[in-house]
Order: sequence, then C-alpha cells, then structure tokens
Amino acid sequence: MYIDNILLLLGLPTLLGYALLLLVFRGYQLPLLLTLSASYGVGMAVIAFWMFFLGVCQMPFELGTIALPLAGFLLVIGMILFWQRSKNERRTLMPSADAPMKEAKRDKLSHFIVITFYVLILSYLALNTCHIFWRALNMPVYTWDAISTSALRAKVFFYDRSMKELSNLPHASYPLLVPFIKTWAALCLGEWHERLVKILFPFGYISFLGITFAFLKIMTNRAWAALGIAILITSNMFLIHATISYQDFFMMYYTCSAIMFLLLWLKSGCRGFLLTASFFTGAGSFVKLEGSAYVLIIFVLFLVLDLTLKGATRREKWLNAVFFTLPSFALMLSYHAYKFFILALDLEGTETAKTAVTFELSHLERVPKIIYAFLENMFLLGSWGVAYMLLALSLVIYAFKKKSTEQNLLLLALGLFFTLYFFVALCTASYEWLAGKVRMAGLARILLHFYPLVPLFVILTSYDPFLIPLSKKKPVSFTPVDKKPNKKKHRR
Amino acid sequence: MEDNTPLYKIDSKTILAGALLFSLVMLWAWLFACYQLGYNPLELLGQLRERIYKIEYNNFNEFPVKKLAGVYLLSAFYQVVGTTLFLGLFIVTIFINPFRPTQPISLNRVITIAWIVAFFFFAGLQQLHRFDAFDSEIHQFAGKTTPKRIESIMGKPFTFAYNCSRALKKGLRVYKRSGVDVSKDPHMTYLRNLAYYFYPKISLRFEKEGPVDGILYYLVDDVDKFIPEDHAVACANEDRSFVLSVSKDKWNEYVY
Repeated sequence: MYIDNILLLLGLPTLLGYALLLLVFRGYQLPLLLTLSASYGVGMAVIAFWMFFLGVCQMPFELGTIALPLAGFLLVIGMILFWQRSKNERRTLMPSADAPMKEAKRDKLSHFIVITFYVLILSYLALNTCHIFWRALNMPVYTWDAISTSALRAKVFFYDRSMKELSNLPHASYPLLVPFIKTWAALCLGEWHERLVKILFPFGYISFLGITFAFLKIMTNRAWAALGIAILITSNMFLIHATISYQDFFMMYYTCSAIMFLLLWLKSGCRGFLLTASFFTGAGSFVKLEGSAYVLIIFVLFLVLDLTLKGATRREKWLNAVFFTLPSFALMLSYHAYKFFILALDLEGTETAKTAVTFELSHLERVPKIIYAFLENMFLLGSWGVAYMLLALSLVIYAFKKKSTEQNLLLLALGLFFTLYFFVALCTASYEWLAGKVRMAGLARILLHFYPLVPLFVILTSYDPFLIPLSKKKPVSFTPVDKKPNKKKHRR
Repeated sequence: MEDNTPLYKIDSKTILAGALLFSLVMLWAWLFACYQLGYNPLELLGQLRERIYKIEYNNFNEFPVKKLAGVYLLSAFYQVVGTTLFLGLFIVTIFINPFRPTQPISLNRVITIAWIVAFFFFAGLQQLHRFDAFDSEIHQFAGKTTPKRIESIMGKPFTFAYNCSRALKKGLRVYKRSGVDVSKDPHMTYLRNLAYYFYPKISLRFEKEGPVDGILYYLVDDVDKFIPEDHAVACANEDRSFVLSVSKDKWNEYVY
C-alpha cells in the first residue's frame, strides 16, 4: 500500500548518499557494502540539513521543495561521475575478492566448524533483525522523549509545513536531525503514520550493521567481522533503540561511524574517508546537544592520528586538518549560530542549567557513586549483554599483545567518552541523570552513543587469523592496486 | 608486555576439542553456581526464564535484571566465566600443551576461546528470552488497528484525544483546567501524551493564534459544576476524568 512512498522515502536519500560517496571517493573503488551502508546515513543527514536550510529561508516543507532540488543535485553528481569515469581509471582500495588464502585447504571437520559457526551467527542475526523490523513497524510511537520532543516536533513541522513554531516548542534548542527526517518520512507517506514514520530506524540499524561489518571485515576477516556483529546485537539497548523513535540511535550511528571512517582513513590514506568521517561528525552534532562535545572528542582523535602520521609532510598534515575541521565544525556551528542569532533563544535557566559547570569540594563525595553507577550499568544490568565482560577480557589480551594504532585509538576514544561523562557527572547538575536518583533514565542512553566501540575493540584485540580459520579471503590490505602507477596514490 | 609467541595455525580438531572442553567446564561451573544459589538446575532454568531481562516495550532507558537469591544474574555468569577460564587455563597448560608441542596455545588464545564459548552460551540463553518477548508483543499488537495498538499502551489519554480529534472539524484553542499537579508524574506524562495525540486539532504544548473557544478539564472532581453555561461537552471519557467543552455559540463551527 505504501510501497512507492517507502521507496521514495528511503531511495532518494540512499541514492543521494551513494552518489556523494562516489564523488568523494572518485578514482577509488570502495567495498560495495560499506558504500551502500554509509549512503543511508549520508543521505539522511543531507535531507536534514537541506530541510534546515529551507526552514531558515522560511520556505515550506513540501515534497517538491525537498525532493526536486535534491533530485536535480543527484543528476548533476551523476553527470560529474559519468564524465570523471570516462577520464580516469579507478583504483581499488581492496584486493581482489577472489584472492585465496594460501592455507585455506579445509578438511571435513573444518568445513563442519565453518558451517556451524556461520549458521549460528546468521540465525542469530536473522532472528533479531526480523524482530527489530516487526517491532519497529508494528508498535506505534509511544516512548517518552519521542512523544514530548522529537516526534512531537516532527508532527508539528509536518502539519505546519514549516519550523516557524520551533521557538515555542519544548526544548527548542535541541538539534533537529531526527525530527527533520521523521518529517521527511511523513511527507513521503502523505500522512502522519504513527508506525511507519519509524521505518527510518530499522533501516538505520541495517545500515549501521553494514558499516560495522564492512569495517571489521577490512580490519580482520569475514568470520571475525560476523562475530563482532553478533556481539553488537547482544545488547538489548542497541536493539530496542532501533525500534523506538529516540534520537540516541542516530547519535550512536553518526559518532561511531565517524570513528570507523577515521580509522579507515588511517589504514588507507584516502582523504575521502577523512571527509566522510568529518561529515558524520558534523551530522552527529545535529542529532543531540551531546554531539557538539563529541565533535571535540573526535577532533582530538583526529589530531592524535594526524600528528603521529608517518611519512606525511607538514603541508599534508595541515591539509588533513582542513579536510576534517572545516566540514565538521561548519555543520556543528550552523545550528548553534541559527539558535543564537536568528532564533534568539533565551537558554538561561533551561538547557544550560543541566550543564553549567560548578565544582565544590563536596562534589568529591560523588566520585565513588559515579564509579559505582557506571560499573553497575556496564556489568550488572541487562542493557549491554556481556559486551563489557568481553571488553575486560580483551584488555587482558591487549596488555600482552602487540598493540595496533587502531586498538590504541579505540581505547583512547572509549577513555575520552567515559572521562567526559565522569566530569559531567562530577561538576554539573546532570549528576542526577548519570549517577543520582534518576540515573536509570539517562546513563544507559548516554553509554549507547559509544557502545559499538566496545565490540570493535574486542574483535580487533582478539583477532587471530588462525584461531577461527573460517575466511576464504586474505586479511584485507588497503594497498591501492593500479594498472598505471600513480605517484599520488596516498594522499595523506 | 608483548606476546612474542608466533601465530601458529591450529588444526580444526584442536579448535573443536578446545570448544568442547570449555563448554563442559562451563556447564560444570554453571551447575556449581546453581548449587551456590540453592536451586536445582532444572528449577534454575525456569527461574532464569522468568527473571533474566528481556526486551519489553517499557524498557527503553535501561534493562533492569532481577536478582536471584540476592545475586545479580550477570555476576553469577561472570563467576561461571571466571571459573571456566581458570580451569580451562589449568587443563590446557598442565595437561594438553605438553602433549601437543606442535600446537602451542598462548594465554591470549585460551582467553579468546573461552570468551567465544561464553559468548555463544550467553547469546543462546538470551535468545530464548527474546523469543518470549517477541511472542508477548505479537499477542499484544498483531492484527489490531493502529489506534487499538496505541490504546493498549497509552490507555485512556489516547482514547480521549483520539475521540476528541475525530469529533472536531478544525483546530480549536482551549484553556486547560486541572484538578491535580501536572508538573509531576503520572499526570505530566498523561498531559504530554494528550498534547501529542491532540495535535494538530488542539495545541497543548504551545499557544496558537485565534480565539479561545474551548476548555479542557483534566482530572477535575465534579467537573460538571465547572463547565460554564454557555459551553457544552464535545467529548468526555467514561469516568469524566477528561472532558472537552466548546462554546455553544461556536458549536457548529468546531464540532461535527
């Protein structure tokens, strides 16, 4: 009944994202799964920023004003790509998919283990994915934050066809990516459909699994990547947020995807990854207020990588900094500038009250309570499955194993996120939401934003190509393969 | 400290034997945990089915785990994994490694095999409870219309907002009269639900332009006393805890 509407709803952003990624990575051939999966996130963010632009210009939110210019934009990118394609040969960032592993001659028992392993993992994934889709599309919008903020705003934007009421809505200073894409969904569906507006979330889940799997497959091999995905979905919090219309799922999507793309840039040297990471970072700042703090964290991660980059000249390092900083900070600042200068919100006593830093010596009494609240949530409650137990075991392995930059960076990222929230709990009134009486309403949702880094670290640390000899493929290397040698292969 | 053990390829028999060994040790550790908690294994399985967390529609901020015999179930699981690791390491290093010098197993590999086995054990157990959740959700929601599904979660605030919205021809501005403190739960939640489901017919979260021609009564005792003479009830729920009145002069303009 709604098939053509849904095709437009999902198809246009994905095509747009795909075209943009092809443009950014022109001259390179990316893994299809990675490109397709990331296309969804890129496209949805583009739709949201375009709607923001329309809203600022006081133009109506109609299918025509949103879809037609973007379709034209898509056509222009298509033409550029077509023109570029005929001029240059594309370099692959992956070895041939047929490259066999030298020692992959399997006996019957190995074959049995291989089949059992994949059947278990795929069944687990398929069952939970079916559940996610059923749940998301059969249960209406019902959760607290959705009803009081994000879905309410989207509903108001949809019926008013504008964001003129934004300053009158509750929590007007909150960023708008999720309300905008829900409005887009409703516009495509032609009505405010209480169940189908949530279709964005299970597809976001599929897209995120795709990015994570592709990332892990590049870093390890198919079997370990599959294991990583299985660990990711043991978290009930991760699954349930793919079915309700909270903003935390997309906050996690953009934050963790940005970090994965940053690591892919490190591995490949291709600036397209850096640009995509930067775009995802900026998009994250348009999902929740926390996103602005995450921009700074991801910027620190980038700085660490850029400053320690071997073989890169100072000019190249500066250029990398421009590539990362400009898009992410420009996107982040655009909404803040709009809030302060055009919307002229009076934030005193509202959102700032929760984050105003006040430190007194008596706050030190909070330290054990904060540590206990974090440990209890990570290890004893049911939100994360056994992911944090696996993290603890992986830390033991990490201590005794040769360390890679990827592992170090993931650990640093986790450390920075935990440190940020430790100090937020210590020095602000958000203590109550993170470690105080109402911590059950806030802490787990905050931890969700960077939870996927845990399975990534576990897999990268435990990876042993001979322990699960299940992959037919070699561990992937990012050496560009080019028929015509090109001096500018690594654009670091 | 780095592990300088070279990465040896392990044959599939060793992998299978390792996985079986760890599974058996883990089963033993689980039985030991049952004994400690004072349950027989079958009884404990039944208790677990009831008490381990599962995806429930009202758990979206956190997944609480019920305790069993005063112990968090996950801490019991960690004990099992810890015991398995310790025993597994002991068996591998003392009994197996000396007899299989061509298949050296490092500490890292033992830990990795142990966590993979523990992970499959946990994920399998957890999936049983996810099936339970799926089953109960299907019973609650499948085959119902969207309003019925919302009603099964939200109850009377939704029913009232839904019926009122259907009764109104166009948008109506209202005064709110409340008999309770709506800044505290559960009334704050109820009022937000009303605001969401009333929109766009009635805007409760922010003011719109136009004359105020209606009054919304929220949990006002003996509500009929407060309805002005020039107003009539446009819709109300059965116990009259929620009532919407509209000016009689504008009745035909707003109400079907």
